[in-house]
Amino acid sequence: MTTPGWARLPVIVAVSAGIALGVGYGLSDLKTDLVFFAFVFLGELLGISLPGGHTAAISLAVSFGFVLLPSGAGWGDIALVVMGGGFAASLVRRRGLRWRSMVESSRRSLVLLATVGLVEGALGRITILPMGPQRLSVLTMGGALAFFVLADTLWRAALEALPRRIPLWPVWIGTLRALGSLYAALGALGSLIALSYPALGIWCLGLFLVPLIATQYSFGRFAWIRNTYLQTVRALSRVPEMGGYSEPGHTRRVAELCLEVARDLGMSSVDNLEYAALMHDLGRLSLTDPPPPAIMATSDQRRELARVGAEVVGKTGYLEEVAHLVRQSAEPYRQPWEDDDSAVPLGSRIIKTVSAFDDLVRPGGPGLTARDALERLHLGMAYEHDPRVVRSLTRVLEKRDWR
Amino acid sequence: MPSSFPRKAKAYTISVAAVACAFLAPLMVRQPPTSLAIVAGFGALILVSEAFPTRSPGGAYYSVSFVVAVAALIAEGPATVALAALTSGLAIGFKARHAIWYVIFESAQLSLASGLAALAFIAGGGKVGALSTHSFPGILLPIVVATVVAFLVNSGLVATHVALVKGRSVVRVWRSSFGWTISSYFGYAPLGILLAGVYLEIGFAAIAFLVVPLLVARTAFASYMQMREVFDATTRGIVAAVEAKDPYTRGHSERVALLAEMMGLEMGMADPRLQALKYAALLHDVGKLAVPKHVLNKPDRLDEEEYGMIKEHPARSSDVLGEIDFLKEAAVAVYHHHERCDGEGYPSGLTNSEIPLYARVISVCDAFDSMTSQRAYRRSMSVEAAVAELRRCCGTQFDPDIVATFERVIEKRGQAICSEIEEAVDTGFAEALPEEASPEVSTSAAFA
Repeated sequence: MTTPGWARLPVIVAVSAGIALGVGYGLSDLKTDLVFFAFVFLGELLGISLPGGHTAAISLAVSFGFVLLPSGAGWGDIALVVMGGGFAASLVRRRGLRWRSMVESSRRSLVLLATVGLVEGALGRITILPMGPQRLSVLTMGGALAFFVLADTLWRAALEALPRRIPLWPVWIGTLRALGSLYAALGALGSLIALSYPALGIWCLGLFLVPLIATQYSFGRFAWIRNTYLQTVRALSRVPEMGGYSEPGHTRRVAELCLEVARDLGMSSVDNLEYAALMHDLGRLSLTDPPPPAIMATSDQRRELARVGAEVVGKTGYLEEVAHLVRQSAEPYRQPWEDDDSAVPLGSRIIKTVSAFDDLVRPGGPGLTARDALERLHLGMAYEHDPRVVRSLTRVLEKRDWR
Repeated sequence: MPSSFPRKAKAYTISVAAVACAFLAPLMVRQPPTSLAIVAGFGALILVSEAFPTRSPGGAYYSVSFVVAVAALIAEGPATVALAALTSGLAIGFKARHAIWYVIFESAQLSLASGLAALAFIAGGGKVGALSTHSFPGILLPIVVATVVAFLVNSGLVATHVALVKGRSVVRVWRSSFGWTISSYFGYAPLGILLAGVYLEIGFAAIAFLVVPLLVARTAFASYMQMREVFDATTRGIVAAVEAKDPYTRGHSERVALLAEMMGLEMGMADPRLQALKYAALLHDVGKLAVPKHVLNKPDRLDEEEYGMIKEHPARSSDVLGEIDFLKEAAVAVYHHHERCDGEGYPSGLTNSEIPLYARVISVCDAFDSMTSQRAYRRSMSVEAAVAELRRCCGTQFDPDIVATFERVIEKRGQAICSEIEEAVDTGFAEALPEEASPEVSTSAAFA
């Protein structure tokens, strides 16, 4: 992952804010600070890589716990523990990970500081008092966690969406959906740390490592298998091409372009679309001779290929939705005397149009320019191609600066 | 479940239940639980955690009820935990046949195991109902004692029950299914201490806070397990689609993968490596699709150029695997799966131990399956004849050690292999594509 230049800014801001707060406010309880510092440091080292960046789940929960302590951590203490702990760990990491982990802890610290500042400004201190006015403190705490999650995911989504000039909203929703439950778990554990630390002391942090590690491990495994699965489907999507059943690079280009169009159209969950795009040509394996490109086949032939492809995908027994997308990807977007055929999902329409576009422009095909190919698709808008998809494809291509 | 519940198992269940009653009665008199509401609260927690077990990658089921039991025995003592554990049987439900016997047994055994663990906790020096900074590290020894007692009683009773129901040896059942689970008990014990601390400090409400992360972790892990299955099914489906057109090679990769997996197990491989070997075997021939049809289907002897095309296929398969991070090592093996020990193979002409281990395994499994399945140009060989052929080619084509392992696998699991292969082919994905007969390759590619 290449980091854009402006991503350095938060690191600089975080480091200077940390030093300013530490010097300006001083420390109130050095022993507690050191205990939590050690666990933030340790948790940062145990961090894992998730798609969309490095994640230090354990540090985050410990930081939550520290901020929520009933005794009340001061600004200087927060700066030392949350920022200092994270940065100290970044410094001892391998070179490749150092920068990513610094960016991560800057984001975490700044969002956490903003949360604390906001709640303190509005309601006073956000500690939870086990014996005090419980309802108020639970509400404050819940509100603070919600604010943290929204701000943090928005930041992550912005990092992903803005450099690629795709709409922010669907990416934000996607990030929230992917990380929401992890944050809920970490928030719950953080509150428990805050509640039990006064009674159990340092031992409670050690004991909390067990559920924290279990949570992080499960998420790590899931992220790993998801990534492996995507890699495998990408690799295997080349198999029909290897045998000359479809054009070299076609599937991969189509999948990439489909994702861009989907994001442009504001789809927030695009996993199944990517799988379907990668597997849309599997049906061609059933042909005896390498076939003509899809654009030259009759619509019945295309429909048959899509049906067989969907059958291969459907046989896996898990990918019903993907199979459906593949099956419908040969259908026109509307039927005669109707405006729209609601049985054809948007994903299938995207695959159909993008695949036709690639067949028109790829080397070895009719070799049209992107402009001419779009013109051909415009001609098909009356029946074959959904005008929304064609317009979106045009926008995406304009961004890519294709001629 | 057998059609009639074995009499021995009934007698065993009744005696375990009797012992549990004999254990509970004096306990109730001497140290009665402080409050029935608390017993019900912990009982409900045990019931819920027993009702939602987690599946491990090995296929065993775990429940987190031990966490609750540890919390209850620290916070409230033996009577509460033994009574609360009685709810565990209800998690089984009454739908299945002979369910009543399972319900009684489960309640009795968990009650006994957790009650005895609680007594062991006290005997080990643990204090009930008092948990603070000063409890550490003193509390750790009694917790270890209680964990060991709970593990021994629980696994011993359940293993005996399983053995009696299925008519197998107790020791063997215990060793294969329960012996290694002690690590999960020790993983759960700290959570139990934590739960007790939170409960004593704040009350039952705080337990919800601990349940959320555990549920989230469990859900993420379940998604991981499901994704693994999706991964497996997709890979197999695509391979089957590639092979399906040729009736003679149909199911070949699937069978080679199965044989390779059994070889890996016999050689003592564990999970990430075993999985890599399995997928290497499954994908070893996808590159054949790149070989032009007229070459693959040529009935006559191949000329130099055509043979060169055939020799390309391991490299093409390997290219595909190389794009998948966890199959990097497997990709190298697939590249070399047509090497021979005497250096006469292709593509690199490696000899003996220069050939990667996975490649040597795949080459034997590949040859065995080619010989035992029917081809256009010959009938299939019997298993014995095929093994004899493998033995004959030891040292020239195959690694003798690998062939010896292979023979052991066939000897031990021959029957299982045959039926599993049939099953894999039946339920597999082989019929995904319309049938289309075409004669098989008659090269010397599979074996000399």
